Formats: sequence, C-alpha cells, structure tokens
Amino acid sequence: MRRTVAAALLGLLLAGCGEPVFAPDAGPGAPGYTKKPTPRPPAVELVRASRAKPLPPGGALDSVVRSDGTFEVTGWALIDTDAPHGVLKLVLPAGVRAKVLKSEAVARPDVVDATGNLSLTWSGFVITVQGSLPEDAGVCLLSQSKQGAFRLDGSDTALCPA
Amino acid sequence: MSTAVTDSPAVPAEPSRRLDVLLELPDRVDRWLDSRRVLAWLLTALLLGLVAMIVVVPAATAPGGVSPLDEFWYADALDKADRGELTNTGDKVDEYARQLIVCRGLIGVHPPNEGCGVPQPDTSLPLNGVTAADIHAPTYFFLTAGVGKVIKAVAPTDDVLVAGRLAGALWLTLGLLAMVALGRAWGAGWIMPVLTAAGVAASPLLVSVSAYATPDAMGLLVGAGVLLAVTHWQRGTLPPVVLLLAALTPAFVKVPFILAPLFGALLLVIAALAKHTSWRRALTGSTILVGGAGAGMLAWQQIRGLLAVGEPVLHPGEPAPIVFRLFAEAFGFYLETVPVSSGGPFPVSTVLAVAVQPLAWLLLAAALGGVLLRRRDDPLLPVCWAATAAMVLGSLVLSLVVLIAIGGFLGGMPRYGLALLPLFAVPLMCTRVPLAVLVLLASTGAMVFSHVQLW
Repeated sequence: MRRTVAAALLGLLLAGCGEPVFAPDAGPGAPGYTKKPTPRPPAVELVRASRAKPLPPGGALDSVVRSDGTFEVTGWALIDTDAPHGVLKLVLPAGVRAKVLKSEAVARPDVVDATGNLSLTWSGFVITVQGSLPEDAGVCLLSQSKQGAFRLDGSDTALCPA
Repeated sequence: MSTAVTDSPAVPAEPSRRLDVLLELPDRVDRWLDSRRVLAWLLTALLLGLVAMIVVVPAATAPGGVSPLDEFWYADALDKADRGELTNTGDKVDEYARQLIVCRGLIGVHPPNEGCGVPQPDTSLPLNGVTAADIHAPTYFFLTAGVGKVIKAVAPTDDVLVAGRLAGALWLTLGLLAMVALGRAWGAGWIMPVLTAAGVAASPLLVSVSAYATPDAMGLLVGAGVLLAVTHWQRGTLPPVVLLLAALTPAFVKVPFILAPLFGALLLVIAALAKHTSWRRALTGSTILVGGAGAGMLAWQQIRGLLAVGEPVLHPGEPAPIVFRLFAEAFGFYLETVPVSSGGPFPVSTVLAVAVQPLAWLLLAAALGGVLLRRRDDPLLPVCWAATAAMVLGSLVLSLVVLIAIGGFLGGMPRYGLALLPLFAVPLMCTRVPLAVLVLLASTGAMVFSHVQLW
C-alpha cells in the first residue's frame, strides 16, 4: 500500500514538472501567444456641411448614441490600418458646436466575414464627441485614405449629398 | 441413468436454453455484485469515471471556439474565481476572456479573428463587455476553479479554461454515481443503472454541458442529490433539516435546478395519493421542498443585489414578452430534447445522433409504461407518474416560476431540464426486461464508441 501511494505521489510530482499535455491551440494560455498593441485609431476632422462633396458609398455609420453633453458615433470605414491611416471627416448640422474627445479603432470580424477582406479587421471605429446633438439631427461621415474617398452608408444625405 | 446422459457437458445445450442463460445473465451479474457491495461501487465508479473521461476530454481539449452557451462569460467568472474574485452584477469581463473569444472564436457563430493579442475594447464585445455570469451563484465557479488548480498542478494543462472544462469530468462522474445511487434506492440492480448512467453521460446534452465551462455541468449531481434526499424523506430516514438543505442548494448552483425539489414535492404528493406514505409526511416534505426552493431563489437574488456594483444588463436569454404560444411550446419540451439535444451548434457525429434515440425512447417508455402498467401498490408507480409529469410539464413549470419571479418569459432550453434527468431515469434503471437491457447496451455502446473515435 505504501509503495503504491509513494509511486502515485512520485508520478504526480513528475507530472507537475512536465510539459502540459493539453495546451490550447489559441488564446492567452496557448504556446506562442503574444500581446500586441491596439492599432492606431483614425484621425477625425470636423467639417462644415457646406464643404461636403458628393462621394460614392463605402463603409457604414452604425449608430449615434447621445448622452449628457457628448455623443458617440460608431461604424466602419474603408481606411488603411497601416500608416498613413487616412482621415474620417465628421459633418455636423449647422449650429452644433462640437469637439472630438477621442477615437478608437475597433475590430470588426463581421465586416471581414461579409466582405472577405481581411485587411478590414480593424476598420471599426468609435468617435466620442463633446457637444449637444439635437434628437432629430443626423450626422454624416466621409472617409479619405489611399483606398479612396467615400461617404459612409447611413449618413444624413442632407448634410453630405450622395 | 438416462438423465445422466442428457445432462452430460459433452452434449451441446439447446438454443432456447442458451438464450435463457443469456437472458438471465444481467440478473446473475446483479446478484453477484449485490453480495459484494464495496467491489460493486468501486467498479461502478471506475467504469463511470472512465466513460466521463472518454466523453469530456476530447471536447474539452479540442482546438476551436468557446461554447456559444455563454462560455465566454463563464470563462471570465472562472478566471476571476481562480484569482479569488467574485463575479458581481455590473462587473466588466477581464482580459483573459476577452482574448479567448477573439483568439478562439465562438463555436458555430464566428471564427477567431485577426485581433488575437490586441486589447479588446468594450464595444467589440457582447453586452458592451459587461458580464452575464452574475445571474448565477458563485458555487460552480469557485468549486471548479479549486479543482482546476489541482488539475493545473498535476500537469495536464496550464490554462484556466481547459482545466475548468476538464473538471467537468469530475462533476459528471459524481452526478452519474448519484444517479446510480438513486436508481438503487428505488430497487434497481447494477447493470441497468450503470448502462443508463453511461448512456446519459455519452448523450449530446451531457457532452455540451460537461465538456465546457458552465454551471449546467453540476445539473445531474444536484438533481440526483435532491431526489435521493426526497427518497429517504419518504421512507422516514432523513431529518427535515437535511431535506431543507437539499431544497435550498439548487438555487445556489443554478436557478433552473429548482425543478428537482419542485418535482420531488410532486413525487411525495403522488406517493401519498397512492397510499405509499402518510399525507402528513408528504405535505410536510412538499412544503419544505417548495418553500426551500423558493427561499433559496429569493435569497440568491437578494445576495446578488447586495453584491452588485452596477445595473444588471439585459442578458440575451432573459425574459421575452409573454405570449401564450411560448407556453404552448414549453408543453412536453423535455420529452424530445432531454438528453437528445445539446441546444447549441456543437458537432454531433451521425453515430451519436442515431444511437441516442433508443435511450430517449427507453426513458419515456419506462416512465409512461410504468404509469400505465404498474399496480397501485407498486412502490415505483409514484416515481413513474412524477417522471412522466416532469417530462411533460417541466419546461412549462420553469417558465411559470420565472414569470412569477420576474414577470417575463424564459424560453425553454434542454439543459434547463438537466436536474430532472435522474428522475426521468429511475423507471428505466428499475426495469428488468431483457429486451430493454439489450437495447440499452447497444445504444450506450454505440454512443461511447462514437466518443472513443474522437481520441
């Protein structure tokens, strides 16, 4: 009995020193997993409605969420993930005083699935803007990069004509 | 003298006699094991432990995504528990789980994406990065994290999720043993309970909950434990405080498991109607079971509210508007889904999909056949009635409980009926019909074989 227990304990001890048998093939516990920096977010410029030119559609404006004194614009655009990144131009209704607080790049696996274009993995964005946007007002987003200039789908056509 | 000639071993036995010997074999094995109880339990534990490993290990360690049955949030709760932290309402999902969903993808929903390794903002995550695991008490997460630490210490893996998934083999083994104990408490032998338990273990539903991180992994253990307590209460061999503990426990693992004490209460009432127990014992027991289950549910909701650090977020599985059609769909839902359906897009081999069907038919046939054919003085009659009622009404009862508790409708899922599976299985475990043994042997054998092929 003692020999069996000793052998079992030795077995467990040796097993503890060994390599894991079941290592996941991906994820934080997988061999070779490395942390990477977040891709740089796109630059965002505020543009007056009168200066917006007609552009072909590309990308999409998904939502505009208003909260106290700020609003958040999310979507995806045909912009470059490598430098130079390109620019997003946010067109707001006349009279809306605003300032871009921050922009973030967001992974969009759904866009990659839909388009089959792997370079659009980081095509998503979240732009946080300081300012009050009236409930009935829309916004328009234009993108400009090496891929071309586009008007994002879902933009208010009164602000940027198709 | 002539008899000596006909009994001679040199003369081959007639085919009918050989068949008789074969048909008597399960009874003879049962009798042999009955006279060696310790050995019998040891063999049962070894065999069911082996089946649990065969079933759990390939799925738990397979490459690919996390389970779409909320494993993303449960992996985060497991990761927090591994560090000694509770998952409270309003908590954000930590980096480990954020990376899991990006690097491994979600089974049947989306593949991994190029963002693996890159910090994931809230906006790219379900529910804006807020946890949905807060709806469950921390019991499963802390127990599993504890077992996971042992698993990590003895080497099979260094990963929190894989270790947590592998712990599912332990919960499954314990659940199966409790199920066999329940069957034996109602007069079953050894062969049928072990075959039934092994078949249940290899079924698609049990694989989907035992090989992935989810509180459902404890459903079988909780359900069988509660029903064992009910059985001993009916016989007058259990003190009220233990029955109360058994009634309180399910809500502190996962709320749908309260179906076990609720249908345990029904079993006692039916036993009193059939004059198998006194009305006083039945009503006292039922009150303790229903009251304890309700008190457990309310107590957990109060504790959850006290621990909250933010507002609850809408969980995708939470109540939808009340429509009569939804209740109609809940009627008889467990009849066809437990243990046949995983309720998720998991890969199920053709052999497994076919082989599980006879097990489901036998479960229903044994329960319904018992209702129709067993005599009133048969001690199994109340169990057959309770099992049939649970199969037909279980999902409906759960929907009504949720409606009363939070005023909304919760759609039926096969896994919500897991705690009732031991009750469904009692009539089959107590069956001694040779044909049932043969069919169960074939069904279970084919199911286990389908898992062996994955190794």
